[in-house]
This record gives sequence, C-alpha cells and structure tokens, in this order.
Amino acid sequence: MASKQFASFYIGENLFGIDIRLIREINRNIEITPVDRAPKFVRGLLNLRGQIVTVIDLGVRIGLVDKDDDRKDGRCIVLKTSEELSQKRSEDPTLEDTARDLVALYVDDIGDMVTIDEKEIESPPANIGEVEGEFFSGVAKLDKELLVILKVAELLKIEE
Amino acid sequence: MNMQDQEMLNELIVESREHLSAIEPDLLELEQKGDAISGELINRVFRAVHSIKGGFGFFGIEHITKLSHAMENVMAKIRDKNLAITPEVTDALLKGVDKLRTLLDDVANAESIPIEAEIAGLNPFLDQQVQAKTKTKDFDKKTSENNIETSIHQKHPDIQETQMIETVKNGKHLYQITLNSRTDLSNKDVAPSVLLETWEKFGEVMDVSFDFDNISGILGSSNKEIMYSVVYSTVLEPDLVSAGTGIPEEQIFTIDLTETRDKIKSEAAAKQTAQSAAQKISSSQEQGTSTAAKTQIKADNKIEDALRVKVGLLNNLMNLAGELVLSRNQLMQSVNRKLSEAVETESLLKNVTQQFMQSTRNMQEASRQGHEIVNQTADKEIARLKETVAQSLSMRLMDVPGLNSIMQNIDMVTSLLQESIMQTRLQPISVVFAKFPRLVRDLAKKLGKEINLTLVGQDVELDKSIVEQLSDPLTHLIRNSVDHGVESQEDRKKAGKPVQGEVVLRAFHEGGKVHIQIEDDGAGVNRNRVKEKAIEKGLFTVDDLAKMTDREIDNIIMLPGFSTAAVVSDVSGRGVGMDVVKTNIERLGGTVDIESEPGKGTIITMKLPLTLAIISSLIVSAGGRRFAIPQVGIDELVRIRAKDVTKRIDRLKNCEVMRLRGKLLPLVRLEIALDMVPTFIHPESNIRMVDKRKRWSDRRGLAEDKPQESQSNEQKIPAGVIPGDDRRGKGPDRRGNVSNAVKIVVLKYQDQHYGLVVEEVYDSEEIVVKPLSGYLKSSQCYAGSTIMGDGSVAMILDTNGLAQLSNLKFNDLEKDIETEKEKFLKDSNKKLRELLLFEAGENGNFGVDLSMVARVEKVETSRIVNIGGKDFLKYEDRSMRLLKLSDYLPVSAATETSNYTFVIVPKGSNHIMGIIANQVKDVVKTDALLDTSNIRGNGILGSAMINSALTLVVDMKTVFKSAEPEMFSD
Repeated sequence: MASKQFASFYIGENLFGIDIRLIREINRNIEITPVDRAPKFVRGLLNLRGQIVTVIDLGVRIGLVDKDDDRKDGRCIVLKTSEELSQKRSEDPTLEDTARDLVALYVDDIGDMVTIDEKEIESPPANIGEVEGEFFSGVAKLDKELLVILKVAELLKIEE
Repeated sequence: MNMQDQEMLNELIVESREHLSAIEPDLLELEQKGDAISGELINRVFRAVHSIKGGFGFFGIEHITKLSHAMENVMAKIRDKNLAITPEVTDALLKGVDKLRTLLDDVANAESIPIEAEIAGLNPFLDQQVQAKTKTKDFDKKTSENNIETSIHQKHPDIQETQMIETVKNGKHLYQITLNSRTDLSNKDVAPSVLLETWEKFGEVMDVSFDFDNISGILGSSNKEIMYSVVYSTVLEPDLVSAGTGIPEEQIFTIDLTETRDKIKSEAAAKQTAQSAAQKISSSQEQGTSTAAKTQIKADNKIEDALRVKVGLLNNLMNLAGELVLSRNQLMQSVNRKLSEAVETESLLKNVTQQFMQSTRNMQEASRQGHEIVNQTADKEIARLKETVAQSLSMRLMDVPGLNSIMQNIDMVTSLLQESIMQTRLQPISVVFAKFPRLVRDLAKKLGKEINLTLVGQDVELDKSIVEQLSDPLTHLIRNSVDHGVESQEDRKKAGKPVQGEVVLRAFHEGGKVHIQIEDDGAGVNRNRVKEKAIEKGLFTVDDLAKMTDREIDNIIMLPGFSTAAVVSDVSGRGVGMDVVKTNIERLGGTVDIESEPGKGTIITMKLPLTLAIISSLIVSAGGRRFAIPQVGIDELVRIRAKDVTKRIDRLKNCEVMRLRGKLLPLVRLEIALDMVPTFIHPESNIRMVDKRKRWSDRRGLAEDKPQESQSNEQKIPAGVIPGDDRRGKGPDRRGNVSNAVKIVVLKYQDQHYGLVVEEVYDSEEIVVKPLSGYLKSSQCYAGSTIMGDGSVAMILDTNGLAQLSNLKFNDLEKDIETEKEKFLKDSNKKLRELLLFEAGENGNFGVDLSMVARVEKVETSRIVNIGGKDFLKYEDRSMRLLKLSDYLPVSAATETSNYTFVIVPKGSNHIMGIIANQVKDVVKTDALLDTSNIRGNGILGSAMINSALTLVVDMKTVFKSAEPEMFSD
C-alpha cells in the first residue's frame, strides 16, 4: 500500500504535517520584513537569494494563534510554486497545488519527517480544539502524538 | 520538399507576414490621402506584394501567387494613376491581405483554400488593356540589353544598386536568366532548390521573381509551365554561363553594367573630396537611384541590424542584470562603509602620531639630562616607532589605489548594462495599436457609422509580455466603443453632435504605471439600462443599487455575465466581454476603470504596472520602515522647517493641507495611510516612541516623551497650539529641532497633486521591481516590492492607491479653508475645550464640556429602577431621571449590561437628570474643531477625532430638553 512522506512541524504544542514534495527548503534566522495593511496572517516578506517570498504565519492563518504575539525564532518552510510542481502534478494528480507566488509558512519549530501509510490517515474531526477544520485534510496517530495533515491549497487561497 | 526547401519556405512565410502587416497601415493611409498619395507609399505596398508573389511563385504555391498577382495589378494601376483610390478598392485590397494571411497560416493546404471571392473582388478594378500593356513591356525577349536593365528594376525591384555595385567591384557579371519550369525543371527532374544550389557554386542568385505575364496564361489551367526570372551574379564569362547553368543561351541576357561602373568611379572620386555623410546623399542623388531603391536600402539596413533572440534568453539576462544591480548596490555600500572607516582610522592615527611626537619630544628632553647610552637607545626606539606609525599611516592612505574611480566605473557600467537589457524587452505600444485603424474602419463601415480613431502615445514602451497580452482586451474595448459607445448617425444628429464619432486610444505614463485609455464621444453608459439589467440578472438588489455611486454603477458592466447590448451583434454583446477584459488586465497586475458621462461619452482607463522593469525610485521611510516611491510619480520634495509648520500646514475637516506656492495641497501621512502606530524618534535619546499628536502643529507634550514600553497611565492629550497662533507652551520646544522638520514628497495624482509626509527622505535608487505578492494586493497601497542594497525587502508604494485610500479631496480646498477659518474665528473665544470623554450605547464615543459637569457617579446597575419606561436613580435623597443617549442620539443601545454603570450629573440642574455612561474614559483638553456637517442631530454639537476615535460632542441641555420638553420651557 502506498505510503506518503510528510514534513512535520509545530505550532505551539500542536504537530502538523504537509506533503514533503511541496517543500523547496526550510530556513531559519531570516529577516522578515513586515508589511503594513497586509492581511493578518501575512507575517511579511523575506529575501530568498534575490527572490521575494511571502511569509504566511501558519498559526494565525489557521486560527490557532490569535494575532502576532512575540513568537520569534520560528522557521520558514518555503514551498515550491505551482509552476515548479506542474511537472510532478501531471505525474501524480493527487499532489496538492500550491500558489503562483513563492510562499513560505512560518512555524514555531520543525519536527521529523514521517512516513505514513495512507490507510492510517483518518478523516479529520470538524474542529481541533478551537480551530475550525477547513484547513485539515486528515489526522494520523504517531507513537506519541497526533499529526494533523494540512490542506495546503486551502491555506494558500487568496481571498478577494 | 527537402529540408532546405522547407527552411526557405518557413523563412519566406515569416517574411511575408511582416510584409503584410506593413501593407495594412499603408493601405489605410492611401485611402485617407486619396489622390494626394506619395509615390513612395504606393511603391512600398507594391514591392511588398511583389515579394510575396515572387517568393511563393518559386515554390509553386499558386493560390498565393495568383492572389498577390491580382493585388499587384491593382496596385500597379493605382501607381500609374489609372485607378483612383476609393474605399471599395481599399476594401478589396484589404480583403486580399486578409486572405493572404489565412493562406500563410496554412501554406501546406493553401491550394485548397478558395481565393475566388477575393480575386473576383479585385478584378473589376482591372482594365484589360493595361494588363496587356504590362505584358509587352515586361517580358520581351527581343528587347535590347539596355532595356533589359531597366526592366530588371521592374521585375526585380529587390535588386539594389548596392548589389549591382558589389557585383562590379568583385569583377563579376550580371545575368538575367529566364527559367522555364517545364523545360528547365520538370523535364529534367530537377528541384528548383537543387538547381539554384548548383548555380550558387559559381556565383550568387540575387533575386528570383515570377514572370507574371505568363501566369495569366496558366491561371485556371493545369499547365504548370511557369516562367521565373532569375538575376544571377557570377564570375562566369558570357560564353560559359549557358554551360555552367544548364540553361539554353537564348534564355540568358547579359546585363550591361557600364553605367554602374561609371557610378562607382564617380562615387569614389567624390568620396575622396567630400565628407562622407553629406556625400552619401549627394552621390545617391547623382546616381538617380529611384526613391524605391533608396527606401529599400534603408529597410534592408534595418534588417541587417536586427537579430532574432530567444525571449527566454532575454528573460535570463534581465534576471541576471537585476541581480548584478543588487550586488553592485551591496558592493557600493560596503566599500563606502570601508572608506569612511578608513578615513576615521586615518584621523585617529594622525592624533596618535601627534601625541606620540609630543611624548617623544618630552622623552628626548628628559633623556638629554640622563645617560648618553640611554639616550641613544631611546632615540633608536623612538625612530623605529616613528617609522611604524608612518608606515601604517601611508598604508592606510594607499589602501587600494584608484578604488573610487573603479567603483564609479562599475556603478555606471552596471546601470547602462541593466538599462540596455531592459530595453531589449521593451516594445512600443504601437505594435498593438497598429491594428486598430483597420479594425475601426471595418467596424464603422459595417455598422454604418463614421468614426475617426486617433492614436496618442504610440511610442510609450511596455514590456514585451505585457504588450502581447494587451491585444485581446484592447480589441474588445475598441469594439465596444465603436459598437455600443458611438451612436448611430441619426442619433448623433438628433443629439446635436457631429456625425463623425471620435474614438481616442491613448497611452501615457503616470504614477509609475502605464495608463491606456479608450475614450469615445458617444452616448455614455446608460445607467438605467445597467441597473435594469443588473436586477434582471440578479447581480444586485434595488437597495444595493440605490446606495451605489454613478461610477460604481458604470463599473457593474465589468461583472461576469453582464452585457447591455439590446441586440446581440456579431461585433460585441455576447455577455462575456468586459469581465474577460477585466480578468486579463488584472492578470497583468493592472486595473480597469470606467468613467462615463451620459450623452458625452465614456473613458475606459487601464493602468498597467511596470513589472519586470528596473525603475528609478526615491527611498523614504516611515515608522522606521523603508519604502520606494517610483520617480515618475514624484513632482518635488518639500521640507518644512519645524518653526514654519504652523504657518504652512493647516487642518481642514479630517484632512491636513499644505500651502505650496500659494496653492493648497492635501497631505497624507504615510504612517497613517499604512495604518501604522504613529511614532517619532526622540531627539535626545534616539529612541522610537509613540507619537500621540494629532497633527504636526501640535507640540508633543512632556507626558508623551516616554519610551513606548514604559507608557504611563496618563492619557491626557496636552493642550495643542492653535494653528496660526504663535503662543507657545512652557518647556523646551523641540519643534525647532532640525530633525523635526516635516518632509513631504509631492506626488502626482490624476490631474492633481498631493503631499506624502514621510519620516525621512533617502537617496534615489535604481530598484528591480518584483511583482506584488498576491496576498498583498488587497492592501491597495503597494505597486510591488524590491530588494534593497543591504538585502532587505522594501515595498514599492502605489502613490495613486495611497491617495485613494486616504479619500483625498482636491476641489474647493481654498474655499473650504476660508469657511473653516471664519468658523474658527467665530469659535475662537472657546479656544480650548475641556471634554469629558465617555462611552455610551454600543461603542458610542461621546464627549461633554467638562464645565457643564457637576460630578460623575459610579452606581450599581441594580440601583436603577425602571418606572413607566423611564429609568430613575435615588440620588441624594431625591430621585434622578436617567437618560440613555441611545434614545436621543444616533447610537444603538448597549447590548451588554454590567454590574456597574456611570452617571454624569450636570451642573445647575438640581440633580434632577443624569446621563448614563457605560464607561468614563478620560478628560482631555482639545482645540479640535468640531465638524458639524458630518453627523448632525438634535443634541449634537459636532464631531471630532479625539484619541483617534470619532467622538460626538453632546449638548446636554438639548438632550434634556428633548427628554422632558415641559421642564425646560424657558
């Protein structure tokens, strides 16, 4: 049976995961320039070797963190763009789509890479804690904790 | 067909397409100018058609050849003034052009595409007699050699004087060879390309043309005998040509080159004596070269200068240049830092040396009195030290020789390089505009309208990718203007307008963006019809529409699935129009806006960004962040000294204005426009602090001079200084400090200007525009982002967006300020109000004049008794009537009840009435002018922004009166 690899990361104590194939690289200690009048969940922009990356504060985006408190030392998970993935997506249509822009997800800490059998992924509850379930695609039980798998396409949606 | 032929054919197709796109505007010009046509223009068209004919004749593609031949014949008649240019002729020719295009698109199947209709359209213009005349003139084997040479130019207009000269200079001969497709090719089973290849071994095939006199004989018949006329330049002597080429001698004519030789001689002689530039013209005149040949040379030069480059490669170059610019900026910054460090070290060293010298002298003095040996040792030691210091000093000075000039060089070269590379990607908008005259002409004709299209700003350049994607939306908009915009001739007459409608297509730069406008003088948007349609289609309700402004209603047209055309024509009105335009433009990062005046016309404005571009911009800061403002949008920079602030800056309702050379400009404070917490830098401690002043004319109170983190609970706003009043408060006035000067960037906005107040103005810098992240588009105030020299990210401001966000008002500023002044004078006896701020109802902010308040009581909600719908409180042994402001003023009633509530007890009412407040917030002194126009109501004195909240100032007496009229009847 097919198994999938997920990159896991923490927001507070909660463990989340996304398909590892969507990730371009993971960075820390990069200066993020805040942008005024930006949507709340946009933490700012960062310069990734000459390319500008929009940093989405994942905690704020899914409603786990109220607004930007003084969380520092987070990591930026830079995602591949939709264009970069188009090749892979044509081979595997189940692979999620990302954004046209270069986007990074701001998380508190990085966890391990986990391999999960697709059978073990259960559908998510309607909400996890106080967070609405619209961003969750599934849940998997790991040895010690629960891994919530995120709907990346939903996270990256731009609201008009 | 072999590979080589295929390649040649492909090239020919590309070339022919270029010819066709050149023909179209020329034909339209011909039509416009009518009889006043220039020979050059008609020759140009003639030549273009001829090239197509010749080229495809060579490949034996009959349909193209036939059609272009028919067109050529008509052109010939026009040229010889045997045919007047009428719209009908142009029509037929344009149709021919269209069909040729279709044929070129599908050359492989060209023969199966019918061309009869186009030929039939052209034929009526042809006079048989003229055709016959050409026949005899053009291809007569018995003509003398001299005659052949003249006919060379006729049959081979592509042969240039220069080519002939080249032939002579190389000692070659020039022949005109007639090639019979049947006897010379088919019968021998030789492909034309193979034959010509053999010829190329001994010389050069300069031109191949189709001998069109013989075509007429084969039209419609299957006889494939076609005559080609080939111009061949070779070293072969006349008696050897026939053997070399394999063509019978009677088909070969030698072209007399004596004349050309003479020309070369005279030219050479002339060259020696005269300056080259002026000389070229004179000699070419001397040669009597035809106008046609001259332009041909010009055109050919152009082709030689151009090179086809893959767009991908250019994109790469663009990116690399962008990176180079960034690296250069970084390099410059670090070098400058190093240099200034070096200068510092140098002066430091100098000081050290001086001190050292001094102590040396002291030591020498001291040792003179001591031992001789000690003396010597000390001397030696001193000398050594001196040397070391001197050495290190000189090393500093020499650091890197010529570093500065090298840096300057790199700086300049990088700028030039980047500019040039950028230009490779730029295309004039005329590339798109060019097709519209035709489109408008055809459409207008079809719709029975008379329309004049004016193109403005054709030289405005845009990135290639944008230009390419503009074609469809623009076509649609132009169609709309012609179809829906401009009325029918009868309607125009009725409306008292000239019969001829005007459509203007305009491109220009503004605010760092390229604007493209389509303006027509038609009927404008029929708003009632739009409303009806919008309701009909369920896009809006009647209520929605009632709330909308005219402009908003106009823009409904761009919503998906909306079309107002009563009759669906094949021109437009399929209901998938404007929204597609909008989406396309927005995809390019632009915006579309419709502005319409009923009966007068419509202007559709598209604003396109300069993505991919490198622009020069001004770096400014606000709230400690840096921003780039595109230089194109900037008019000037104004710095107002702190002591002039009160004189130059006035407040007008909720907007601040600046006096600039007698005019009033609205001001936007960047920090506020971007919703930042206003801050300032404390001049003594250099710490950024929260600024609570409402405007610059206010003095920062002492209470505010505390760093943000240690803010006290004290919230009182200090007494401000009244504008125009020179009265100053106690304590040091930091407004005199230089760094407190107000820096204003004056920006263009539509036809107006406004001032953007920034914290600091830095350098002008070339920046690489990176497209705006999709997540930030909703912020409306950015045009893009960029990476600064130090690697940090900065936002590029959208100066138009900022103005819109700030709701700037430009009209009647002067008048407004007068009325404001008058009102102010009237109110001046009040000067400062002391207001008690409180909250009542659901989030309502209110203020009452403190002088009217006796006291404020905190009471338990449970103590309030409701009798007959009225609230009462037992207060000092009397019962006091309590009023809820929500009952009398425009504020909704509080939904939440708490255990405690506040009662404001007014002075001098014997405590019979009080006002309920949820919360008492503050007591402030303010000179804020009350705005009486915005929110009106009985019991409201006016509104003002206090502590950045809209506060209604309540007239308690009136409120009490309206509650119990009989009690207060004076």
